Amino acid sequence: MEIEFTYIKDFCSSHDIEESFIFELHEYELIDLGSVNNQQCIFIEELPKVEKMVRLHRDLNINLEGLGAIYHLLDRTIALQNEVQLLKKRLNR
Amino acid sequence: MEFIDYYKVLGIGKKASETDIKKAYRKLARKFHPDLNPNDTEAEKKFKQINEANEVLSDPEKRKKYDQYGKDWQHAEEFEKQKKARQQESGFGGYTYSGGQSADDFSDFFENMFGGGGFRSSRRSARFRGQDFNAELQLNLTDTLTSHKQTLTVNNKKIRITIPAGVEHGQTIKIAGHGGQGVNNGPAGDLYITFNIRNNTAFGRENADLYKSQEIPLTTAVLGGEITIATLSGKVKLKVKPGTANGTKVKLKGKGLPKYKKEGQFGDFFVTYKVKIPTKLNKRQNELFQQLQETNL
Repeated sequence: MEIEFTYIKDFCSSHDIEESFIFELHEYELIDLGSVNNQQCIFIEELPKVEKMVRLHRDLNINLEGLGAIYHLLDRTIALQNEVQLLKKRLNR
Repeated sequence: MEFIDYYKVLGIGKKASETDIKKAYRKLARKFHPDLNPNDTEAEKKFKQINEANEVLSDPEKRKKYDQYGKDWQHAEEFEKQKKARQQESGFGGYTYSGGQSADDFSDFFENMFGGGGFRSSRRSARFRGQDFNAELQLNLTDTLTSHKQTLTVNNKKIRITIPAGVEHGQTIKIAGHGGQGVNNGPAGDLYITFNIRNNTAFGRENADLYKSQEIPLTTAVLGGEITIATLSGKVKLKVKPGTANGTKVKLKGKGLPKYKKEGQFGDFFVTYKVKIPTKLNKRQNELFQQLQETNL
């Protein structure tokens, strides 16, 4: 059985951030949290997103509203990039 | 190795103030941050350049050195002295993007100018925590009644652990420091053990509580009586109240499993009575039931 989660306190201590920031991300519905053994945790599939939010917040001082907007726009950017790739491939056929 | 004009990288003049540098840096960092430019290697490269420029220009001492020797780094004898002196220098602040940091985060120019003994070493030889290990341990439910020690072999290393009484199926415990070794004297990872507990008893289990269905004769249900049932801690005599209905649940307080990490506390044992309806009656029994029926019971 693989461990597919990390406890919030472990994540925060290894990333040197306050636990409250993670809970705020959750309150803003930017990330999903889980619970294992009565302790709140972050599941593996959610980790890249959480780490990205932490970097943007720490590196660029982006607040939670900004992170929400960025996440939405990034989703669109990636979707558009994929679409462009697909169209390019079709053109080259 | 080319000279890098950090002022040009940030798009500022040589006389730019600290505020100007900060402002230019923030503006460009927002534009080229790798997380904001997915799949864009050019942006990532640019971000590293901006980061490097800021590392130098935002630190008055580094900036002074850069302004003094930067352009003439190939010729300045003085620069060599600076190279020797830099060994004691420590890292300086800046962005901490770590999503794709690689060995070429900083230019050769930077390394020659400010060396590997200062800033770079503070990043490159960072201490990393060792990998976490995961293991699964199979136990019988009866093995969880008391705390006991068990020796496990994880990655060819023997580890003696205490298995706490009342540990539950699927529960994971962390053994700190028994994972992979850290890098550059970083702390070791942790060992996570998940328990796979096989219920080798005849009882149902929910947390620390145990459940059992117990058949009782119809006459005992109607008239009351005494029955004996087996629990994990031995046989227990139970009084059945007269008029006990089918499905009645009785709680035997503290006769369940030990509670995890709560010494001396136990769950409860729930017995659900299943009243046994006789299907084969002898002649006498049949007559007696008919007599009962005549009483409009």
